[in-house]
Amino acid sequence: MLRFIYFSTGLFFLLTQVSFAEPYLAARTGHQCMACHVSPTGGGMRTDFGQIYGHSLASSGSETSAFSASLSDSIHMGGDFRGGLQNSRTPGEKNQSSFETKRANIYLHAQLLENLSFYVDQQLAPANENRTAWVKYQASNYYLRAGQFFIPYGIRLEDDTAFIRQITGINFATADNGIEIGWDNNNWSSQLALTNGTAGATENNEDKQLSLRLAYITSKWRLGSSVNYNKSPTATRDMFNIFAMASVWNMEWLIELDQIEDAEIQTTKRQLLFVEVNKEIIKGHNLKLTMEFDDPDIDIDEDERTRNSLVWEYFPVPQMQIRTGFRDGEGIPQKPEDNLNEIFMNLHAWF
Amino acid sequence: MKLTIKKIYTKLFLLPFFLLVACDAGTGEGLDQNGKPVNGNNNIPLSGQINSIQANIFTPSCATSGCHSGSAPAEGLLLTESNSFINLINVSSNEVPLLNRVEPGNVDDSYLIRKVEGTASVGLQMPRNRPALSAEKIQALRDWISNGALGPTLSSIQANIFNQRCISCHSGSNPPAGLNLEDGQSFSNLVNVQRLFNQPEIRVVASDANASFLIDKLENNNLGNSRGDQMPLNGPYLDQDTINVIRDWINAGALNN
Repeated sequence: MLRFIYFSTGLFFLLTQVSFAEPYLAARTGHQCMACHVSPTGGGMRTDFGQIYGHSLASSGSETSAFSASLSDSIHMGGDFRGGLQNSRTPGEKNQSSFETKRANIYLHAQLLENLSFYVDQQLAPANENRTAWVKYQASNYYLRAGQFFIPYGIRLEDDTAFIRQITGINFATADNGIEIGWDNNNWSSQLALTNGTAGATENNEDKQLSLRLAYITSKWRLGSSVNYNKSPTATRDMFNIFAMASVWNMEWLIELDQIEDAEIQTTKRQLLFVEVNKEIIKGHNLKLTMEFDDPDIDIDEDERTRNSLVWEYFPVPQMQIRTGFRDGEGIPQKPEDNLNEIFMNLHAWF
Repeated sequence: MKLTIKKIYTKLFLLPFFLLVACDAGTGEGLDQNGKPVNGNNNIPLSGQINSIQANIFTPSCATSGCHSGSAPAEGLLLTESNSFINLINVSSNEVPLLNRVEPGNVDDSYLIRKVEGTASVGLQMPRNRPALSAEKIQALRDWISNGALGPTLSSIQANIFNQRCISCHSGSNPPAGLNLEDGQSFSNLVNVQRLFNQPEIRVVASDANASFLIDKLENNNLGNSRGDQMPLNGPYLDQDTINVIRDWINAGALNN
């Protein structure tokens, strides 16, 4: 049934050809991540431009806020709140329904010198923990960043549970300690990071993680690729992906294809595919379809799983978003947890 | 119909959409509860034994890719087969170092229980971003810990592996390589015993499966020359799940239990 709904909705998009995250906003505007976010690879605190653009998304976009999070000309604060109601149904188990504070963060960004900045992203709820903390030196088109930061790899989706973010292990819960060099020039954007490879946990060996992300960006589309190599005393992981984002028929398309090779006691190859389509139906209302595919071991047949989502995002006023939707997971019947269905309504507020 | 460059370009972008709509989940035919081919040793019913907990809880719910598995496990905690035991028992937790992840015999002070029940003072309830474990699964964990958090026993390995696959050769008064794996003999022939010809390698190094020659022989690790062939000789060889049971027993101290 859900497949039919997706197909019908997709067909609707195709036939109507109406002209017309979150990475989809980057695809819509043609900007790089750093245009809207303080972090050069996206996520977390927004820049002044990002704040203003966020205002423009609202259905009542003319409404402005007198609130200012600037402590001085060179010290700024920011924050995000995400929470809501979630209902999960796993075959063979009782329904779970809960109100959740998914994430509440506070940011501090200080421009110490013209080229030197300091940034902290502290999660306050549901658990108090540091997400990222780094110092960045900017020189011409280059920058050098040191500290704990999100690893550059693929499309930086907000949804940590998306296959391409959860299974790769590179998401908003796995910032790592190390250094990163970035280079941005006209249409090119690249980052190379050397980190502990422990997802932020204490390092206990000399092995490291290397991650490289390269993208070519135009106003209408971008194409990129990432490679990641991470070795530990017990396992080695090689990952590779290609990704694309484009604005076509006033819809924003995000596509990422990943291959993961894990060498532990045995070696397995895994493949992931992610497609997301966004359409601004009317101002302040975005409809999002995501389709995900996971082949956990390409040498084993009939073990594949899928996850499809339909989400409506509403921006009633500046700096607030309401998201509601459902996700349909389908996997082999022997793994009930892969056949999880969810209905959710979330509130997202930021400054 | 005239096809313009723009139309071709836009239609190309629609291909992945329709491709994914056509993608189906696997039927699971011939696979066990962890998506691996059925080999006779899987589909273990839920109980308070480590093998069952690994198959029914750790592997499907914790050792998923990007979580407690691979080269960057969350909080440095690997919960994959052959790693979970040594990473849990009497190992202090990263989040609350005063508490061990699993304190044998002490359920309420085992940090693992606090994490899956959502009562830990730090961090999120596990499994992260997934529904909580069922009451039955949490009870299995509680039973395992309250009963001493034991690893696989030698007697179960003897009955299910050595007796079935090894003693047809490794028995009697003159067994191959001087290794007798019969009931009552296997422990004294394996644990902390040098392999034949006084080679420096130890057949089973208690608490260290990776250093145990027995594991090299079963997994075909750097064999050949003076180290001989993979066992059982000429196959069929043990599947990795079965070898992992032996690994768990060794990592748990290779007790004569």
